[in-house]
Amino acid sequence: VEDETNQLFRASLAGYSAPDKRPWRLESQFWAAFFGGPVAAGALAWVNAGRLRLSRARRIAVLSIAAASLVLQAVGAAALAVADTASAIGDSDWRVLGLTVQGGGAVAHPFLHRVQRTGDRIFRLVRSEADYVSLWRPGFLTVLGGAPIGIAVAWIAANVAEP
Amino acid sequence: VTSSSPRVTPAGHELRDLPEADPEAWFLRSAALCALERYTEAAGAARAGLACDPRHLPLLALLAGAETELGDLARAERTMLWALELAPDDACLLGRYALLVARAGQLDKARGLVALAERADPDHVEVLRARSMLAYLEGRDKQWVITGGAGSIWLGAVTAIIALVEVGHTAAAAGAACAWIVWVAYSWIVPPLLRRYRGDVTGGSYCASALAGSSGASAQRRS
Repeated sequence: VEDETNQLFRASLAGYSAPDKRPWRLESQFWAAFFGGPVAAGALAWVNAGRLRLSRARRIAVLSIAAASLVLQAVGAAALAVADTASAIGDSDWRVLGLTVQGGGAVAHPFLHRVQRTGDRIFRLVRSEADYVSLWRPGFLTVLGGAPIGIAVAWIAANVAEP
Repeated sequence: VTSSSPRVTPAGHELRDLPEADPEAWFLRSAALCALERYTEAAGAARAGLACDPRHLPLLALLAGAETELGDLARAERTMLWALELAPDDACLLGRYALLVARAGQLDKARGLVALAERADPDHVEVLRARSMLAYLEGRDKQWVITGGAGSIWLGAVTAIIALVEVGHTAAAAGAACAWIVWVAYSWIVPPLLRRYRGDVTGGSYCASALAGSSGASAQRRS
């Protein structure tokens, strides 16, 4: 017990410096996740995890959640293809693939939010709401890059399930 | 407030006449400057007071608070550790040190310090503050809206509107959709406007909030 107490009274902030780059709001990441799918959501959360200085375990969790959501999205696309949902609802196959991408992103977001939450709250403890950086440009670019990848994965899964 | 200070406030006029060799006078000066968010000057006043009495706990706590606000966490830690060397069982100091290391993301250490502080005085306001802040940082709060983020609310609203359309209540769905759009617009527009015209009311400075606890440390020191 005495050793633990001594450890607590040992200086641990000597090399501390504030993070160089400001993070994005977690709530704003939802829009990029919804329109860009799991790839966009995972990419943004990964970069933001670095800005929030999250631990290695949490960064791996970000990648795992994005990968699991992408797999879930592919399974969903395959299931919808087998059930011929596009014909049932009178919509195009591409629209259904797009919905699976949006669904994958929406499913990934709460988990990615949770992984980043502690780091985000520490940031809020130190800085103010105005210190977040805008997600407009990176969010838009991530959607442009992530959505086609998500649709490609869904298309491959759908064609493997229902050639 | 001090003789070298370029800005003198009405409160500073009275504080300026306090005796230079009295650490309590420097404490008042430093506390006033902290309240005015003039942290560089507050730290200077606290150091001047500590030159008179290097073992003055409230001044040390105030100095650490000002240094924290200035972003110099390493220096704030040195000050805090010096104070804790003088009073290792001071719950107020332990609670504040926990919050200091939590700012740097060292939550394990913060948890250990809060446990120590609870052992010293579980009902001290600074201990309660540190404990609740730590619980909040670790996500041990029960506000599901915050836990799920805006996405949960958005998904819930969209699902409800789609469900109303699917069961044939188109008018109710349209009403819900309009109400939802109004609420979204309100939540986007009003908070930034409030922040712009009324200032950020969500925060509260570490130094200023620490002032209440300083009197506790002061009383403990005197006893």
